[in-house]
Amino acid sequence: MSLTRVPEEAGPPEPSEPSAASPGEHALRLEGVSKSFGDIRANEDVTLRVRRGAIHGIVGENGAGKTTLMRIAYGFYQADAGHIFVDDGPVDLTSPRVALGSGIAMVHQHSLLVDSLTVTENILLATDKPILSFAPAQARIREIGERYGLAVDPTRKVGQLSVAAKQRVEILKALYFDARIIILDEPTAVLTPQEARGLFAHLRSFAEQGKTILIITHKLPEVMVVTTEVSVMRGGRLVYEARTAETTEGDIARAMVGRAVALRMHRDRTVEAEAADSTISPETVLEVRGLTVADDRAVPRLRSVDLDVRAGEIVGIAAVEGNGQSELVEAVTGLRRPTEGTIRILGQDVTGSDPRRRRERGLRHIPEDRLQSGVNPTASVRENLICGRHYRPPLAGRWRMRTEQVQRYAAGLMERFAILAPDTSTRVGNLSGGNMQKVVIARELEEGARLIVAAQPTQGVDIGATESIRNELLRMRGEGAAILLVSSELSEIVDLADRVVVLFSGSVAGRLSGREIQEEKLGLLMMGGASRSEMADA
Amino acid sequence: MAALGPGLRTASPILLAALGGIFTQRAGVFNIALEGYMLVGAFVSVVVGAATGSVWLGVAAAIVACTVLALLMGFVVLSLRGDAVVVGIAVNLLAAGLTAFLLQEITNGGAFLRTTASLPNLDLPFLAGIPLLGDLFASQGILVWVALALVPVIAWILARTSLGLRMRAVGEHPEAAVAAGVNVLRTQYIAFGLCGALCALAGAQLALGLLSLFSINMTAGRGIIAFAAVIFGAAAPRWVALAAIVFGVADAVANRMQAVGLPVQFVLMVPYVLTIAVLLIAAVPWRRVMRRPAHGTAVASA
Amino acid sequence: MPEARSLPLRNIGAAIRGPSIAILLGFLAAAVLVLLIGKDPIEAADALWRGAFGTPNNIAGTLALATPLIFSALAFAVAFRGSMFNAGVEGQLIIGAFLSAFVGFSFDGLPALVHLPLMLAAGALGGALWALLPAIWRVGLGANEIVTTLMMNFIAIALTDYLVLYPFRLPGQSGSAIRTESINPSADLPSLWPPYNVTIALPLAILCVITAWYVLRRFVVGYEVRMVGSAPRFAKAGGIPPGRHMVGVMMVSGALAGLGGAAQVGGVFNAFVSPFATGLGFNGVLVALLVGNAPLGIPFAAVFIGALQSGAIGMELTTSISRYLVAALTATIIIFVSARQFGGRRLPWSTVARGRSPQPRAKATDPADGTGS
Repeated sequence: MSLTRVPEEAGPPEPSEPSAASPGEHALRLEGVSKSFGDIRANEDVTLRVRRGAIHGIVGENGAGKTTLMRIAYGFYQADAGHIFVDDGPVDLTSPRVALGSGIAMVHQHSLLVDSLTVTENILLATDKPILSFAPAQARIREIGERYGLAVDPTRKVGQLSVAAKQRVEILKALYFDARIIILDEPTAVLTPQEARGLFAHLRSFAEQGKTILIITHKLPEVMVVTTEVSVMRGGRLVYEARTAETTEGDIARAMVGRAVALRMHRDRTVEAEAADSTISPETVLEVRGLTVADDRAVPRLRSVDLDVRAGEIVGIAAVEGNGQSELVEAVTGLRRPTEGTIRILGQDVTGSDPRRRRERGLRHIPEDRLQSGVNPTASVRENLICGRHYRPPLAGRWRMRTEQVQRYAAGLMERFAILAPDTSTRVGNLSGGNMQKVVIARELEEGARLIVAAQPTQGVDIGATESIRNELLRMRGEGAAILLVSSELSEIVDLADRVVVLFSGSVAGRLSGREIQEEKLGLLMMGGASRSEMADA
Repeated sequence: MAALGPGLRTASPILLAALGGIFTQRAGVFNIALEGYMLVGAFVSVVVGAATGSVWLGVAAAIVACTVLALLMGFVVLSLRGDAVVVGIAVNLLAAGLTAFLLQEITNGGAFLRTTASLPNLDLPFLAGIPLLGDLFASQGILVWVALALVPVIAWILARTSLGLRMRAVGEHPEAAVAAGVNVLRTQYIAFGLCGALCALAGAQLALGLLSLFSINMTAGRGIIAFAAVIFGAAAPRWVALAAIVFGVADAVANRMQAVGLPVQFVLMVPYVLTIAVLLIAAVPWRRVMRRPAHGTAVASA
Repeated sequence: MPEARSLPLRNIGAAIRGPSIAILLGFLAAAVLVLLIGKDPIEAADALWRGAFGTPNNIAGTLALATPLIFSALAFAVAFRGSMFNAGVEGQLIIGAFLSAFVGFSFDGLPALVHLPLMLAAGALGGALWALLPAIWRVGLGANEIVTTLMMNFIAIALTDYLVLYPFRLPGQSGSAIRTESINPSADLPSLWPPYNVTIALPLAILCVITAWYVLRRFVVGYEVRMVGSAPRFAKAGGIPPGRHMVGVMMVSGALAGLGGAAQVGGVFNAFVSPFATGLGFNGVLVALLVGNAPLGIPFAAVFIGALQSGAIGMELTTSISRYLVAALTATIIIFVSARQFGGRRLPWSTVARGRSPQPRAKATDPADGTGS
């Protein structure tokens, strides 16, 4: 707890002390809030005070309890203990609607809107009026949109809107109901750096007009750029509070993880390049030519993409969500058949082969959606670890599984990859997120991996596990595996990739290697070369 | 054309039940228990109607009974988290068993209960003069009119009221509904209640409007046909109504064919075959078919 | 549903607790109902018991009723394990029955050793083919198999009714139930317990149960089916083709249902009768659900439901309480079983839109992690 530091003059006082702030200074106060889910204590005795007109950052690692706290603040969850005050008046936020009535609105990370309803209908969903009149509502939405520069057609179905436009709808909704406190949950996760800057400008203007903004994030640069005050959560507790101007990235990071960390594994690209040349062999493991892939609705998502990954190199794919990287991964791993083009693994055309045939060629896949594709949460650790080689000797004969070999194999992997579980028959669903990902890594990186497709391998994993997963990938690279790394975490790509291919709306927008790999350049290319389409997307 | 008048009559119970099914379907519940609700509605309306001598009391009692039954099923499905299809199968069995059991207790082992009371017709003389419509509508049971009138009413509820909006949101994206402050459970309970009430009318129309009796398992799959109509029409009132009427007409046609000794089985299949056909047609990714007629379809994502 | 390990006794205890409570509550409800109509529930229960097990004849009746239920319940459970909700067991059973009857009366002079397996195989084939269509529609197009299998039931009923009434009409019949000509004696299922209707279909059914259990537990294909059933996308990413297994389990499911139909034809009716099996398929679904789709539990649950049904007839005779009471009782039990609080198991998919799950399943789905789904 030595890290819990409250700056003397600036920060809010300790919870135990009576509030020294002048009355009415705080737009939102949460006092002593606790919340548990079963055995998991998501929030423990959290006291959070947010000044009116502030842009207040709530930072913390995944699982630190920040989303739970914010869900309590907008009435989605009810706290087990504690009190909430809006403008110093006590409120009982029994539902999001009640919270909205108190002036609190939430903008969700993945927009929580109903696709088949129009923008207007989605906004009116939060009203109490029994009979709806659309025309006045539409006029008001248009008017607010124009006033704040958040143009969205109120008659469009939400399903037809882009991700960024959906976020604008959520913000519009908050403004429509005159919310004075707007909570945003990792709002930039789905945005390009340029779109994010636009959002920040909006937030600043809201704050200037007296609205109070809470922004959940785990990106420190964002905290420094946009917030005026910041709170750090760790393990369900609030461990650090400060005015942004009076703190540093390093302090916040230390509070987040509870120890000093190197913020970046900043690589010395010159040394790296030489080292890389020695590991990268001329052997091309993955060869993609003219690959065109359509989604379920036959809309092409990837267009004529060429891509090579050689043994011993990591090729990063940088793209904003929804620009074809998922389809690329699905096509390479055999989960989706391309409409055109060829995929070769180790020189052999596998375009038409199923995932099993590709696995037999040395393909390994760390899927993006861990709980759906990465593990089977209802099955045991053992059953999870053998998937993909369960049908071959030594684990199975012609028809039957060899129970003893399976047990021995699984126990061996558990030990080697330090998977924390009572035994191999533990349900994977009972493991922590980091251990779940370790199960995936153990299964996929064990023996015979020639081509590793790693999609968001560290998403939702704490910093410790992130480090070990990255090291594991680097080790495999050192052993001559070819690695295709898809990550929305730009820093991850910058840190790990030898070469980067940037995708924008399904096509290759740029290829970078060595010292060219810089976040700003990537961000620009991910936007399609910083074209004017940035804001015209509405 | 001659089958249309009787067709509308035979369609009316199916139409009423299907309109009820729209609510639960829209609220995101797969409800195959329309059959059971209808059967209970038919039984209660006949028993209470016969006991009190008033068809209206019979109808009212049926509405109460079915709403309670639907809410009880809602309780198991929504609050106790039972699977809707499983509980639906069980509710259908429960309705069949319970009504038959009580019928036999009332009639000392009989297979049916007759009633002299029946629902009145509503004549619209001004329609009688019009050539085609006259035959169709001139003299129809009062619940037929109610059923037809409910089609636009329900369409309006879904499109223009807060309740309808909430139901659509709850059925499609419950998390979004919760985030917007909608009480998902309450909305779904309301859907169950409305569904039960409409199925009560369906049962009453079948028993008091058409046959003036209750017999063991008299719905004979009409509730399932109503469910098929809901699926067929994708829970959009006008399409559901159209489907229900088409299925009802098929039923009437089958009755006439049977009278002259023609094989009726293929006509009886019509609702089920059409529903499957519509499901399949809706499922075909037409854009893909148009694009690449011969090959290159994506791997089925299961 | 991981079950690579042998089930320790406490697991069996846990598995039995939910259904036991449900059965108890169901009987309580039925007792109240009997009291309400002014009769003695103890007397009714006694009559029910004697009707089911009181005489050898009644025991045989119970077993005869249980046999097809084992087949249809196993059919449902197998499909369920492969993530398919087969609401069409009834229709598959009827088609299987018709095809087996057709083979039964069409072939003359075959030795029983050939004719009997041929008849059973025809039943299995009929059921499998009837299940194949919805499976293909589901896998190929994504058409909801709950709806299509449900609809296929009624098509099967109408289709066989037509076949019995017209192309295969036996002259000189009247009444509500009509039948095809009788099958040849060489296709009769031999009785294990003459003169009763307990045929070799019963051990065959139990053999199917044990086979299904063992294959699911120990075979590669069983592992794959369980993975597809509990986490289809995981299976697919791991190189297990979900579509193939979904079609596979549905074919097996339909075949088992068809076998049940063939057993009824060869062991009970000696012909195809229309209407054939009112409720056998749906009751099978209930039997499977009673034991949470665990194959080894199915024979016990089937005997339980069979005993209720055969006991009901005795109860009606001796106490004049309508036999339909038992249908209501069975339904009540299933409703209690399916409620999660009484040990009902959450299906791997949902037929109900849920607002939110009140408890995260594990740390990884901690609501702090994302937008919770």
